[in-house]
Amino acid sequence: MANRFSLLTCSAVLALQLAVPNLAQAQEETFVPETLTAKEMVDPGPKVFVNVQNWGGGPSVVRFYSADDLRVVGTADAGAQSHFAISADGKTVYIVSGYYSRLSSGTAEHVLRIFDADTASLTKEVQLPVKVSQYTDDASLMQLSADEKYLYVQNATPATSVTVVDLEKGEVVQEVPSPGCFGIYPSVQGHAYSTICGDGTFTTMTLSADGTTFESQKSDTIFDPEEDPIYLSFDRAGADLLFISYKGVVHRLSDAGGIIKEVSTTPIAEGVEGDWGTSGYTVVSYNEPNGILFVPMASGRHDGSHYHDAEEIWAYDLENKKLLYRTPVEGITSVITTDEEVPTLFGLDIGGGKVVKFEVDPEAKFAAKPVAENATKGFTTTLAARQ
Amino acid sequence: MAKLLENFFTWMDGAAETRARNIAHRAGRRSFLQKAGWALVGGVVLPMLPYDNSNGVAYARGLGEPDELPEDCEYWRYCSLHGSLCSQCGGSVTQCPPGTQPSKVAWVGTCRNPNDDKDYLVSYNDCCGKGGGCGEGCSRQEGDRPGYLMGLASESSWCQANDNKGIHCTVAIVVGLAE
Repeated sequence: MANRFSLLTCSAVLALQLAVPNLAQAQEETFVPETLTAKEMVDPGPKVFVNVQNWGGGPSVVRFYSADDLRVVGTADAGAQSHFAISADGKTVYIVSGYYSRLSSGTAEHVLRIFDADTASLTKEVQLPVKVSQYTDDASLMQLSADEKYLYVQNATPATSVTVVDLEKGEVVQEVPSPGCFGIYPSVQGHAYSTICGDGTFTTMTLSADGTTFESQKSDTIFDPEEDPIYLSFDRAGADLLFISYKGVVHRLSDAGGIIKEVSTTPIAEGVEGDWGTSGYTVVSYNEPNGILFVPMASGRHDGSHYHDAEEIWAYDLENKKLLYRTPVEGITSVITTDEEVPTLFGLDIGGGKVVKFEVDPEAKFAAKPVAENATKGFTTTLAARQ
Repeated sequence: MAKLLENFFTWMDGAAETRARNIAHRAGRRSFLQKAGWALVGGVVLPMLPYDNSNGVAYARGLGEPDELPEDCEYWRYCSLHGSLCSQCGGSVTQCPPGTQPSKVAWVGTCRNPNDDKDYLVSYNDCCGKGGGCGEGCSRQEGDRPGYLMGLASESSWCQANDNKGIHCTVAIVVGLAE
């Protein structure tokens, strides 16, 4: 038996030795060396864009995530303390940021960079006045006009103003002084925007046809900046603007007449035990088809807690003034919803450094369930979803 | 026109600094806000508390403070702080670390001193021009307001008015009684 096995083994070894040169030859004939290329196109499909704001001199980035599973599909890069905007069709990424020649010191430039989202490639740069607000990012710090002809950029030196960029010409056309006011809330038609002022009013700036001059109208008092200030965060509900206060009071405003007017106020935490208040940065997001407002909220509200992590995401029926569902969350500080019949939520967790996707069930009072997440690896307060 | 606008913005910064200094030194936060609002109606830019050249030393030693000021975030004068502590970076509670430059402008908080039970105005200045943030993070943000009340906005960089924009850490200077 032993001899038979040895014979078989020897035969197998011999056969292998004879075959090896032929195998090597075959490999040599079929081997094709790999070549280095850059992928030309970003993977198609709905995306979530997250601004990762760098406060150490840069680079900041806008990361493109697949809205499907939150894998990273592309990146647009910029300098320090970036603000961003995405075109309505999701094809163009606008980033404004600071470039300092020695990162923490040296010659300063503030630059608008425009990227093609399909290729994640830089297409244009526009030099801006070195006045761009160096402020924790909020969507209201940089906004496109409704027709995307103009880009409005919030300045603070700390004197506040807005730089108006004509995107067709690729140049700055004017700087609108807005002393004591901050945030940019563009009109849904024409070339106008409103801004929140420190005395609790809003001022609406309407640009001339060529964008080079403006007229302003100041509203009546809308909110109390001392007793219950509103966040910069906002969303549209139909033609109206929605804001929310530290204490969770929703201010529904109209800018249709070229001046801000109050439509309604709704205290969403009224009657809920536990001193609940709004908690986070991007805190107002409205699902249009269902009329549902999603808000990150936390209990034990106190002076200074307004940017803390949320404990729950509330789904609030704004038309019927009814709190429908309270989804427990951990670490979430920003939330946006898609405008679909069955909404999807995307949230940011600053402490955990991640972006999270939630599926929402309209049949279960808009309860949300986390279904995917990915790292953001940085300081994130703003995000946008596009189909 | 461009020159005119530039002069206007320069004037706004200067006017705001002077006005804010006057308001902040003689008023509590409530009154401070009311007067700031009045100033806005009058067309003057929102206040920011200017850098105080005294560095608050005279006040600090009259506050019943211990010889060695605490470094933890719960220390009373850090009530509105949002940043990192310069006392852990070679500076002190009231001094920027060597090689940095104090910010020219600052946000202000109103903090209660447990030693005498009085409210004080505290100027939070960033220390600028040196990279690589330093010190333990501390975010209490009491009295914080968004940028439409810029003088109370802790989410802003306060190195914004300096030539060198890098933020290294933050100090807390007691600049006056709030009431």
